[in-house]
Amino acid sequence: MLNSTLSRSRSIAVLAALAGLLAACGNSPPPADVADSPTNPVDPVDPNVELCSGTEINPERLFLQQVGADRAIIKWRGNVDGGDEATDVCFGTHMNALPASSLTAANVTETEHREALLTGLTPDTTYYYSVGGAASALQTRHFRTAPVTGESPADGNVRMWVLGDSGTAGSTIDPEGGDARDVRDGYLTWAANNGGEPTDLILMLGDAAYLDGTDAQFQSAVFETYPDILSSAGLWSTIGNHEMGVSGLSTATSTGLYLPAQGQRDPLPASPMPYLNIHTLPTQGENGGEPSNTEQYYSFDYGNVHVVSLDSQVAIRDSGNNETMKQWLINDLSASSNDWTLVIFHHPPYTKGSHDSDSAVLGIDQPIFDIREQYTEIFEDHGVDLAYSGHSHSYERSFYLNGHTGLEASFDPNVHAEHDGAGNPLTGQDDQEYRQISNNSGVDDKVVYTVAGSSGQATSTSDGYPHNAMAYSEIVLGSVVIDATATTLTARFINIDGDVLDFFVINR
Amino acid sequence: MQSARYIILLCVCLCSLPASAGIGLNERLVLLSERIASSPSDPDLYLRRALIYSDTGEFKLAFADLDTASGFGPVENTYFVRGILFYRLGQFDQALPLFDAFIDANPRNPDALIYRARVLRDAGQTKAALADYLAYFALNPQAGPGDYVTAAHLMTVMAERGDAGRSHQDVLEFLDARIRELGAAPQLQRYAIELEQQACRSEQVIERLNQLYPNARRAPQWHLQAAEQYLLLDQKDRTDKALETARALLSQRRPTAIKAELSHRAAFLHAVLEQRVMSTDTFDAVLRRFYPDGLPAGHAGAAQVAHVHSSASGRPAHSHEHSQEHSHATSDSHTHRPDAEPHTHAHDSASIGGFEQPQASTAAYQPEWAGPVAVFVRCYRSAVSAAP
Repeated sequence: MLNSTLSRSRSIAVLAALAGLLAACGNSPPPADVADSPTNPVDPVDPNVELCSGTEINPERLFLQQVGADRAIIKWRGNVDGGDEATDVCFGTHMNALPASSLTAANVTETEHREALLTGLTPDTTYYYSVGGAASALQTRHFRTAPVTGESPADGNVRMWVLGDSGTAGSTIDPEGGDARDVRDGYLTWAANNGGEPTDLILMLGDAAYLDGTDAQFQSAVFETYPDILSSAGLWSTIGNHEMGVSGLSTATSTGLYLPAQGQRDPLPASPMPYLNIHTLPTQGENGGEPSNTEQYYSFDYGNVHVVSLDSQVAIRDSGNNETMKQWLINDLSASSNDWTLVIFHHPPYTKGSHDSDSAVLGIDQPIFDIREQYTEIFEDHGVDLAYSGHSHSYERSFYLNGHTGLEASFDPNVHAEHDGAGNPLTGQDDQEYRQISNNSGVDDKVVYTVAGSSGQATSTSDGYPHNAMAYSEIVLGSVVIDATATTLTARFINIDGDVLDFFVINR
Repeated sequence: MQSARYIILLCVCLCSLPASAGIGLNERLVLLSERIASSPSDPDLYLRRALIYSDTGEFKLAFADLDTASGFGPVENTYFVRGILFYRLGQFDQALPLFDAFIDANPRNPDALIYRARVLRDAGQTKAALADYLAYFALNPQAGPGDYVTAAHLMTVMAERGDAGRSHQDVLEFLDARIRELGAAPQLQRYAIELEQQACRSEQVIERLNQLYPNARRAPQWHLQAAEQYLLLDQKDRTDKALETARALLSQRRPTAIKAELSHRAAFLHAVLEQRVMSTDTFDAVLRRFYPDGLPAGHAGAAQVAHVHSSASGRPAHSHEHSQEHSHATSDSHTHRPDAEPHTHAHDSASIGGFEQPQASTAAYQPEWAGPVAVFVRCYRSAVSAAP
């Protein structure tokens, strides 16, 4: 149903050929991290328009930030061929006719990144770009702007790919990076087998680069693991404990304390916290939402979806900053009237995976309690629909919850979950699909909380696994894809084979 | 002998970690311990591992590492980390002299300054804490909005106590200076709005509401706040228009707890507006009709800072009771949550890693202001009594 009206369907044959070519060149293992193919432009190319005349550069890292309805940032660093770095981009709506008038110079930002801010873009439109300012774009270099706030895209669906704790590739946990790549390929396989709808946004739930979130670790775990998707869909992240430096300590409130455990400081200057240097996240409401004035928490609109990224470690670092973030969240949610609201943060309020939401024996897990006791009520009062976290290396998806702020033993499906009236919590599937406005309460007061922290490793369980508030729990590698139309939200957990292991639906 | 010592230490590190520690934490300790084994006289490695131990609650091991580090370098170098450990344990008296000594030797270290500022703040030493915050901002002007709001809290507390040299105007000037630098800075501007509201300065409230970022007007709260101020200024047409806009926005929202709360507030303001003459008697009748059980305290959205703040921070222990206090103080309309039974936090126990864990204390660094409805009621009565 979601894919029936696609106008951005991918050309499988072309991409398969490209994947084969890349594989043959030794640039990418099959199946390749194949980017989504955009809509063909509808306007004819004007033969009188002067085209760009630069040379395409292949950066060592290339990704998109703040892709909104009328703006986007193309960010890159390095040159894999060893030559000069690109200093500008060209962009346009025709892949092979990028106009000279679009030439946009990049600013040099922290840790020698270069970023080109494109403004004045048309909503819900595919743009092609060339890093280096060539007249034509490579197949993987394009993006689609967001619809205007409150509206669905032309294909009727916003597709979000959610990755949690994915950063094992190249680390001591997984030097070869096979697990993260398998998760990536599982998603791509599922997408290809189900209409090939492109990814609109990528949501990373923290711990994207083990062990310390150094710049070098980001390179292997993020930029070299998802290169083609990152060049064609906006990346939105939330900060995990492994990006905080000094083992993700609460003491890392002062970024100057950043010291990788492996003792290898980033080579480039002024990189106390690489996560913040690498990302260019909205702080001034550039993409909608309440300006946060900090990259550690922020929000944005993508069409009819409002997304909030919180720093779940704020409370443990400093009560003053925590209160400020909490009030900012309330104001942000109060101002949004989008169809769907999604909150991402690293520490899950409920888990029995590799971390236990009943035990704060480790200080590192205190944020679990902080989120559950201080934030879930705000989510539920303000109409949040979904909350996604990582931290535990598992997939654990809750029932449709309200008011469960205690330990697992206090969970009562009759009280805390959407139920059938006989005390049986609804699963969100088939004839038990959820209604955004709860049938039990008559109010939009429930949230599905999901731990999706197995995108790079699937590890252990805690005592009492699975958590009673969960509708589905499994220790298995995978990622989540969320599809949001004007009336229906569908979330699926996809394993490395491209199979759907769990799903649920919320209807408006 | 040395290597045997570190093998034992490594075992202690790993054996002390519960299974739920997560592979990353284990890996980090393994890496650091391996590096210590190969470079046993590098004091920096011990400092870093001590910080990891402090986050796992293993304070005995953390202090042991600091003692070891002291043997391989100037003891002064361990003061900062030792101060952090004591702060996280809530032992401010132990932490402060360590930070003092470190900052004496490193007066331009912003990290140490902000830590000492927080220790002083949580210890109730408002004036000294503010001085450190201001020194920190001078060294690190890009500090987060939460730090600026905290400094504004400290200034406000001093002004309300009548401490020499601080007034509400100082707070507003401090906030405005930062707002001019940042552009849209809603956390700071909303604090300034709250300050003006508490002082019943309606024209200034409206001016500041207008200075918030444009999309702020998408929130019904913005219009309710404006309606309250127009009502206080006896500008009935503008009140009516603001209420109409608030109600229109609310009508487009899904039914949520916050919508119910705001709709009730809008209806109350409309009833007040319906009074032909501003009068205390008629106002009180309306008030009793809409809030028969008393005024709600600490509403979110409008009351930016009208919450009781609790607990020392920067350490891993928060009691459930204090968290509940946070939760209730900042909630909008919930007065009852389905489960509020105390849990057994590991950190609620008497000790962490062998160290006594003090009871969380209520920090007095935030002004205790009333919620928005209570503020409106007070200002309305004041306006009525001042009317000719």
